[in-house]
Amino acid sequence: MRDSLSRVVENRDLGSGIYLLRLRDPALLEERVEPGTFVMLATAPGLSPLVRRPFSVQRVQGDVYDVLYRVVGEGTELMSKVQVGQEMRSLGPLGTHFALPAPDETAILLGGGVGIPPMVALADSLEQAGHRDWHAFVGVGTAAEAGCWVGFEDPYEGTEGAHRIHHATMDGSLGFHGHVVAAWQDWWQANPLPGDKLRLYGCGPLVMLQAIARLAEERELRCQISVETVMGCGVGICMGCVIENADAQDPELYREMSPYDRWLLVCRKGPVFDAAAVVLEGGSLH
Amino acid sequence: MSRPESSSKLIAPEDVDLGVEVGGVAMDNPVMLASGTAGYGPELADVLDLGVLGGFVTKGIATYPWEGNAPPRIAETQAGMLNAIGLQNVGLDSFLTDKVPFLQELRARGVKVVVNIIGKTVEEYHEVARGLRGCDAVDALELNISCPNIKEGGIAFGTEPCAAGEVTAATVEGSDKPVWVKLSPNVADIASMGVACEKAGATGLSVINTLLGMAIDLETRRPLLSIGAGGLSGPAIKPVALRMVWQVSQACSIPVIGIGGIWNAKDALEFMVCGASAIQIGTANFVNPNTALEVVEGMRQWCAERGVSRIVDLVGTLDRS
Repeated sequence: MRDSLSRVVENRDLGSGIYLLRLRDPALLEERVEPGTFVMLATAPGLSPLVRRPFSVQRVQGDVYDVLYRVVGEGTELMSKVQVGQEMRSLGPLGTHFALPAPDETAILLGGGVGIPPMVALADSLEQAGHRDWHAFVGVGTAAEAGCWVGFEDPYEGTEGAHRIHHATMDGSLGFHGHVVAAWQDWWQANPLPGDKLRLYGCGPLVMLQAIARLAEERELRCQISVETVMGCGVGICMGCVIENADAQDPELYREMSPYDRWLLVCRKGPVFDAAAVVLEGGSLH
Repeated sequence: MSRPESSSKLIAPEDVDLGVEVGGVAMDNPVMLASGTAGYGPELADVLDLGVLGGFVTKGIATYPWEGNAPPRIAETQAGMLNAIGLQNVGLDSFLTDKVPFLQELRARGVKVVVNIIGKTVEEYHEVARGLRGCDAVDALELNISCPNIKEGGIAFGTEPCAAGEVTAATVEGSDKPVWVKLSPNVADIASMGVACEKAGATGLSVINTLLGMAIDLETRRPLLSIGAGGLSGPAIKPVALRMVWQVSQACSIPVIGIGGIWNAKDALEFMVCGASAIQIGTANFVNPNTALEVVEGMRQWCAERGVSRIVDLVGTLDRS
């Protein structure tokens, strides 16, 4: 990881409150950026907002990295005003990353809203590794919004391997009408691959991750998810970003484990976890 | 205006003596990282050269591991943040086995190591102090009697002079090292707390811990922190901290360590002028992990430019004439 200054080369309004921020930072990019890792960015200089915010890296090209973000609060609102040429304090790359599937496994990528960019990063990694057997399911509100999450171009568009990117919209204006997890289940029914030949990856809102994790458990699928919690520092010193260790739910394992390990730091042990390793239900996450 | 500690002679920044002696610990410079804002050391080592520090204060250590609070544990506020971590810590045994080797290396580089200790009873504080006896990686203990997040016990030690004195005495009795006490600002008279700890054998006073605060979500009408309230830190609390450092340093004869929203060298120097012999950087580590480095260099520069050859000459020089 590197505490650095990233220079803005583009900060483009893509519509639907979604922006593409492209940052030049050779020092930060000396370390390989794996799919699912993130950077902490100071969204504005000064004391408000005080702490940096975590953003997943969608793509790296040369000494430039892309962050796709949605304006949701004060920090991202200020970030949307950042001008080309300005410098932003950055820290990264941080956190754990998605593990690539075995050669004979079909990778299923499930991304919802701001959970889409890490799936773009993963699809890129799969392609770079020569793993062509993947399908991405992209969940958004509307067809208009779908076009704003740039980066998820189908590399096989117009060829025999096309249609690897499947859309699900809440209003039915594009692709499957409904949730992205339902879209994938629908697809799986039509393409009945054996469960032990599937590898699931998910990133998106909590309800979506809960649905993925439940399915993975029921169908005994290997599954990794990327979770988001309120984060302060990104490096494990503020201890604010925790998620519950699934072992703590098992009375026997809980008795044997150190109480220190009940809450896991998302910035260090995550953000990518095996779906069965963390507790997503029960209301401790918001 | 000319100050007694200043000379018109130009001083090179590298010739400024930043050395301080704080409650039985001699440090190369007055800058420390505050407990709970820098882990046990390795967490920050990738982005900050810890060798620049005068001292390092560990995350609080209890006799046994604590799990801490459920999330959400932090919330941002104007120029500050609230936390309710709940003192999640690895416990004494794991600290001695897993954390001490790194701290030993740090100490070998000239950084003084202070272990923050926590407990829910007087006996637990005493027990941790005893457990650290003979540990040559540790220069001093800092007693956390003020962390406001623990429902059982903790808050009482920090708010009653008698209880603070009792727990300080028990720790001093159990320890072979200097004992500092970190005071809570959530009291009517912080000076009397300092006096009680000094009488009980403390050699230094860390001032201040976080201020109890709260933040809510208006739409859901729920608190932003899982346990409701939490400790406020960051630049928002600096004026309160400065006032308390001044009050405690006036009332006590042992050194005061200034803490509270220090963001840069100017902030740090203000604390020293108000009576702090050294300072700790806390929340700033989350925002800019290189704050400590910038503070050390900035102090040196400021002193050089004003002809202050020894930083100790600044301590307690607030002019109230």
